Formats: sequence, C-alpha cells, structure tokens
Amino acid sequence: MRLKTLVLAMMATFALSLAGVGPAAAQIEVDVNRGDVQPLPIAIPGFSGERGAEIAQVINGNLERSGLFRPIDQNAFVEKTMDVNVQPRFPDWKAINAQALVNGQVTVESGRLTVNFRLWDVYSEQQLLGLQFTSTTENWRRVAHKISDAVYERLTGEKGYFDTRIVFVSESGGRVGKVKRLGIMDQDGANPSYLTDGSYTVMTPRFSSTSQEITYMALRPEGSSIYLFNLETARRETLGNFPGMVYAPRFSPDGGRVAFSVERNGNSDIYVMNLRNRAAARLTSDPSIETSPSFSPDGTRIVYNSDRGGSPQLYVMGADGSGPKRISFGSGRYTTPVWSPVGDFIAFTKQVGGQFHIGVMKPDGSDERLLTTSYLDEGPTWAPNGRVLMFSRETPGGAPRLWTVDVTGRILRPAPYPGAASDPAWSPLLN
Amino acid sequence: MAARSNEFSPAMIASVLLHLGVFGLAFVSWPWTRDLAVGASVPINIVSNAPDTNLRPAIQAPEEQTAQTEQPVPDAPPEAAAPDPTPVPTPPAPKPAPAPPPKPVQKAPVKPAPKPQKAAGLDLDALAADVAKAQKSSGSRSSSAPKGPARAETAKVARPDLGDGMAANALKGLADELQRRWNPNCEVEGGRTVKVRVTFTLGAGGQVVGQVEAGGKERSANAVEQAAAERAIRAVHQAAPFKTLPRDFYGDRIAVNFNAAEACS
Repeated sequence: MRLKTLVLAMMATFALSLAGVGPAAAQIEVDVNRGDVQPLPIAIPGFSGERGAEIAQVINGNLERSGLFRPIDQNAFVEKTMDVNVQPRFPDWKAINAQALVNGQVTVESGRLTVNFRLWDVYSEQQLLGLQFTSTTENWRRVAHKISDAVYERLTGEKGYFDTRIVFVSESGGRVGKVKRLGIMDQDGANPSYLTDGSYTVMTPRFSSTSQEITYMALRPEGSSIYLFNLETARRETLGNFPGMVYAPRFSPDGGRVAFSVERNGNSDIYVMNLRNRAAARLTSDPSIETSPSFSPDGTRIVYNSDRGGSPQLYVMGADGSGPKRISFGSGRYTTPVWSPVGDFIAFTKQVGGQFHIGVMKPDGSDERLLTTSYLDEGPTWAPNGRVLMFSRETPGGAPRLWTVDVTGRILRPAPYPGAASDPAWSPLLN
Repeated sequence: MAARSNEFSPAMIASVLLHLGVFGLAFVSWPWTRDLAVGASVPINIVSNAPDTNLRPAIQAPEEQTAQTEQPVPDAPPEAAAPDPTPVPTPPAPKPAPAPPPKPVQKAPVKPAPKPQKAAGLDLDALAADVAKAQKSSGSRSSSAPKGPARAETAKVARPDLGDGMAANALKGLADELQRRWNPNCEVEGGRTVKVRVTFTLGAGGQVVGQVEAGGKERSANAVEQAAAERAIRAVHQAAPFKTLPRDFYGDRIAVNFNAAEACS
C-alpha cells in the first residue's frame, strides 16, 4: 500500500511537471482549403491635378481588362478627396470592400509632367508602393501605363504588360481589293496609326523583343520581300533578295537574327539570317512545307510547323537546324507556333473538326490545352509577361477582330481596337 | 592716348562680338527640331521611390487600438464587455458571420474539483485535481488532440472546458470566415500551388492583436509568394474581429494554413 502510494505520487509529480512546460497560450491550427476566387476589388480615385482623372481612368481600364482586378465604381467612394502625402482613411475604403487603393497627384511645371502615386493595402493599412514619374505632358498615357504595370506587379507578383504596343494588319475594303496596311497602337487601343500606305499588302508583322523594331512581309505583284522597320528612326530596309517567296519572319530573342521561310517550287524551308553580316543559313531541307519559325527565349531552339508527317504539326529543332523533333501528336492541323517570352509554353493555332482554336502546350508537347474555340481564331502573340495572348477572330461573313485570352483560358475578351485587324504582334515593354 | 587705343584693337573687338554672338545663339529656338517618327516613344523617368507617408494627424490616423492583454471576462451580458478596439467605420465593417448567435459564454462546468478537507500526509486526490487543472489551463489542451469531427477545414482541437463539438464548431466558423475572405490569385504562375501559413494572436473581443505574420513570406524575394502571403494576411484582417469565437479562444495564438491547390481547382 505504501509502495502504491509512492508510485502514484511520483506519477502525479511527473504529470505536473509535464503540464508545467507547456506554452502559456494555446496555438490553434486551422486549415483553409477553399477561397473566394474573384478579381481583386481595387479603388482608383482620380489623381489630383491636371490630367489626374484621365490617368486614373487609364489605370482602371488596364487593370480591369487584365481580368485580375475589379475597379470599384467611383460613385461608391466615401473618402472623396485625397492627398497623396496623407494616409487614406482606411475605414472608408474597407466600408466599400476595396482591398487595394491607388491614389496619386499630378503636377505640371515648365512643360514637364510629374506624377506621384501610392498603392495601399486597405486591410493591412500599409503602403505597398510609392513611385514618382516624370515625362512630357503629352506622354501622360504612358505614365498611366507605367503605373498600371507597377500596381499589377506588386499585387500579383508578375510583370505587367501595359506599357506596350501592338502592331497588326489593318484590313479595309471588301473581299475584292482588300487593303492590308501595317498598323500600330498602344495595347489599350489608344494612339492607332498606320505605318504603311496600303499600296502593297502587309503580312505577319513581328516585334523584336529587344528594341522598337519590327519585321514584316510585304507582298507586291512582282513578289514578296521581308522588311525591317525601326520605329524610333523610321528607317526601313529589306532583308535582301531571295529566289522564291519569303515569308513568316521572326526575330531571335537577342534581335541579332531573323528566321523566315522561303518557298520555291512548292517546297518551303526555314532560313536564318544574321543581321550584322547578312549571312543566311538554311536550317531545314525536307521536301515538305516547313514554316512559322519561332525562337525559344534563350535562342537555342526553334519551334516551327511542318507537314512532313502528312498534316501540319509542331516540331522543335536546335537554332542551327539540328535534332528536329515532333512535339504535337493530336488530330487536326497545328500552325503558327509562338514560344512564350518566359519559356513555359508554346502557343499555336489548331484547326480540328471544322473549328479553330488558340491553344498552348509545354515545349515538350505535354499539357496541351485549347483556350478558345470559334469559326476562325488564329495568329496568337504573347504579351511580354507570358500570361496573355492576343489573336484574331473572325465570324462567318464578318471582319477579323483582335481578341485577348489569358493563359488559363478563363479571361477571354475583345481587344480594345474597334477596326478590322489581324495578325497582331505584341511589343516588349517600352523603356 | 596711343596706349588707350591699343586697348580696343580690332582683334579684341571682333573677339567680343563673337562671344556675344555665341551667347545670343543660345537663346534662339530653331524651328527645324527633329520630328519624332510615327511609333517613336518618349522616355519616362522614374525620379524616385516615394517614401512612406504617415503625415495624417494623429487624431485621424486609424490606428488600431487593441488591448494587449486579455480582458477579464465578466459574467455580465456580452454588450457590457465589448470595448470595440478599432475606430468603427461609418458604414459598419464587413460583418463577420451569420454563425451562431453569441451565446453568453458559459464558462463550462468549471472544475468541480471536489476538495475534501485536508488530510495529513500526501493527498493524492488533491494532487490529481491539481494535475487536471494544470493540464486544462496549459497549452496542451489544443496542442494536437485529434478529437472532434473530421472536417477538411479545421484541425481538431480538444478543449475540455468547451467540449469537443463546440470547439470544432467554433473553429469551423473561423475557417468559414476566412475562406469567405481569402481571394487567392489562381491565374499567376505558381499561384495555384501556393501554401501560406499565417499566424496571429486573438485579443479580447476576437480582434487581432499585434502583427499578422506569414512566416516571412510577406517579405519574400519571390514576388508571387509575397503577393500570395499578403492576400492571406489580408483575409485575416478582413475577417477580424472574430466575434463568434467563444471567449475561451481569446489570447490564443491562431495558425491558419491557406492552401491554394484546392481553392484554385
């Protein structure tokens, strides 16, 4: 009995000591595996000062079109006037469920525009970003695009794509006598202008990823040629003369080479030209049609389409033409492959079962996904962040229009350009 | 006189005129400045990173005034005890939840602890009661205790004083609140596989006391990870105060594991 008492006492003491070493307060674990996935509610009141309201409007439009943000109607704002140097009244913004807030101020002095802005996390009540830009007063839209990029990057973690431009083929006239001119606009459809006069047909414009330079194919009755066109200097030059038809040019990622196709006697092959010494090399020699070359972001590989297997499919080869390997094996026709600027996907046009699709697949051909379906979707081009694609869509009897879709396929919408247009090419971010 | 005329020699006069001419040219604006080509872009400079600002006068600063220590819990009706810690927004902040009505928290059958009169020598019954009491008031109550109903959203927590079902329900309510507010970004690269563990301390009244932390991910060099951590932290701030939680949870450290894989599927 005495021994039992002793043992019990020891156990109790041990238990007490164990209890004593525990934390003072409990830690409770909660798992959250579901969420309310929706565009982020963001408030962007008009900036104070000249052009302030318009700048805010451009930012609103950019973020809304991305599909990742839901700008809140300005009529709902409780705090009506803001000073960029004073902390916002966060409860006023929480009350309208804004999760982020962008406010700013514009000053104009001696023809120079200075824009300050701040990005706030409303619920954490912290400033996430504060930047100041200067430029000429007429350049206010670009300042708005730069602010949009900064806000987008801070809130998503990915680079923005708003301070960019699109070159495209502007189409006018009927089916007979259609005029195809080279056009350019900001990514939001603003500042459209023509780069060619319509006296010849323009096709497949492509941006250099390093400079404000484009290459395109010009088709005249006497034949085709490939042009290089520098947007800064307006200098235009041809790539040279080739026997046969040249088409589908595209820059290498460093801008030092152009790959293109040459068609002769029904056989198309891919060539690459060094722009410094103008030396051209033939990369394919198969008796089939090889075309639409597009470099990988590191410049070591080229994706293209070839019908050597019977129908157009996608292939990848070394940038010197070595080791071609087929990567698409689905039914239908795969054309216009474009390597994403971040390297993770290759976009393409697919025609199957009487429908056209814009799709993406990994560079090894896996994980193929079709993002769009319509009567005629074709010619994808990547935004510089590799998350958004622009392409042209045509409806029966209608004119082609530009559309955008994100890489998940969920955010599909018309691009903000009202005219008939095809063959878009997205620029890199402007400097 | 001859010496004087030497001071204004023709060469000197010509030199002065030339200097004046060059000086004057600087004020002439020339009409043939270069036109920018169509499509040319005008550069924009980032002048500076604007510093943080906190210039609003203190009276307007919406600083959270939270109690750092747990308030004594009165037995009186809850409304008497709720010192609202944050300046209430004119329109009320997003309502916490439809959850169960705030029950007058009954401090569960508090330790009956039958305390018989002292006996000489070692009182084992008293010792056992002390052990039970110590275990109840220590962290071990919620450390693991895989009891309670198996729910995907909540880890199981044993709270002897609340009862397993009540604790599980309270935590499910907390998880529901958070998942209604959590808005993961599934569209960005890597966003669908994000896992963020957020920790915070509950104060009296269910508000968040001190910082909400994401294990440093809120300062991560990986921008996607940083943005994801900020979204998880934002969900906690947005859902707070957690007024539907029983007072027994006040003062506790809460760890929330946000997992985007399922949320984005």
